[in-house]
Amino acid sequence: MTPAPPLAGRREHIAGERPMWFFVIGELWIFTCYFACYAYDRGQNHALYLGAQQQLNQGFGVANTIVLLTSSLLIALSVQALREGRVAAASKLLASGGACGVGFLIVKSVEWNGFFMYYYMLTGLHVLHVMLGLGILVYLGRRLKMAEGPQAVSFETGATYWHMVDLLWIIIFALLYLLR
Amino acid sequence: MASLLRNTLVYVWLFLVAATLFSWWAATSSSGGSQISVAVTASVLLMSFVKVRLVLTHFMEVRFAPLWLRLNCDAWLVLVIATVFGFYWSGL
Repeated sequence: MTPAPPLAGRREHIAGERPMWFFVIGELWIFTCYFACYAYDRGQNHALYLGAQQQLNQGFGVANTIVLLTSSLLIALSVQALREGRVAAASKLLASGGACGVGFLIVKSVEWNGFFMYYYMLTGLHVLHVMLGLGILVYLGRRLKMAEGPQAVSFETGATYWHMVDLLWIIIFALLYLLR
Repeated sequence: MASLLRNTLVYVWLFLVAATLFSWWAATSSSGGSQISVAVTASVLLMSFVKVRLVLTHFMEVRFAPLWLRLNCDAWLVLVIATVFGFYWSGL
């Protein structure tokens, strides 16, 4: 166990390793291209998209947003717990955050019953990211159970990816469910 | 549990959930959300901007990150929200 020094004691700090941040920034730009295409096509035919949107169950979108926000909170609290050397608490928080991720996938599987290209593409890609993120959480959980525990920095790296999954969903939720 | 009440992250999360519910209410309140509305779209995108920035700064700790990373994140966020609104607006 090598807990990172508390944040207050550091002038600058990047959560996790730099390569993860380059990856995250790359992902954000790739998703931006999808978002731009969607906004453009929607702009060319507001009425069609608005009509199609009426068929989405808003409740599922709201529920999943809250599930992912909660999941991000739990992972952030888990990072804090690990920094403070509370490994058992970190492990529980990580597992709860992962459980929220599974909950998100379950809601999505109920909701998917036939919709349009962007809906499938954006939410489909996002689901792949949730699944990859869950894989990372499982890996971190296994490391927490090992005697030497994970390095705080690798824990932060995994947490950073998970927060990106949350962040992208915030935008997808607004685009697909809420634009009018 | 008392420590949770002293944790900024918990308040950030409360705000994020409240903002989500507000956006939902804004999008569905007038005529069941079946009308084009620049006001609703603008406020939904503005709330998304605030929410994403909070996730970046607090959950992802970008507020402690070096300048290049903070600038990258903010530039991206401004561009993505502006692009979406720009294309939305251009088709009206």
